[in-house]
Amino acid sequence: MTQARLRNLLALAIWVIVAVGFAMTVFASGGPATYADDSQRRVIGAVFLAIGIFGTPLARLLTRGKAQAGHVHRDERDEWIDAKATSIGMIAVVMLVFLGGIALWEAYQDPGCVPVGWMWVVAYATLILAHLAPAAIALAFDLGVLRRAEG
Amino acid sequence: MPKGELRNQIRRLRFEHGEMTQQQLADRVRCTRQTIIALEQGKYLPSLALAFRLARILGVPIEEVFQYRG
Repeated sequence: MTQARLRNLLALAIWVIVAVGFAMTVFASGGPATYADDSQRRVIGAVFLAIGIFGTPLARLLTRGKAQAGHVHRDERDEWIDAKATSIGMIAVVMLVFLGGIALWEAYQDPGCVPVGWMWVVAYATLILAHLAPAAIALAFDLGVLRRAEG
Repeated sequence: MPKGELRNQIRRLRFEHGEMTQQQLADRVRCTRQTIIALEQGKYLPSLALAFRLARILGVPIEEVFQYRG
């Protein structure tokens, strides 16, 4: 397994754990509407985010092993996949945040205000998706699920 | 580039070149074995530099390694 594939797998695993953990925390007992006033849930949500923020560089550190004699562990194809996955991932995140904003507007159009807890959801989800999407897309390119790469 | 327009003979040339393994070829052209696998499966189009390195290591002109079928 190449270093790039291993790192993307680890990043995907870490951020899936963060996403599931945060979703379970924020949508538990009362949902986002009560999240801002519940300090215990806010701390748990922050802990999950910290797992992602500190876990990602730790995973990179643990996989930085020197290449075996004469072997290359990162090449032009890895660079191409990373660049493509990052650009597609960022566009996906922007679209999802846009759709989330529109959905909130639709849902709270009549009351005229959005519960502030949803701002936590938007902020955390943006960060989580910004890490999750590029890792998933890079793996899809690497494993040949998406169309072939061009150097 | 639409799929199938650029074909290559890397697999055949590798075997004709002393049954060179994918890893050996990857090491000599300075890329990963996964890139050689993707090239042989037609899932990756290499840069010109890598294409020239492949041709040099396989000891044939570049047009014998890659064929464009437009």
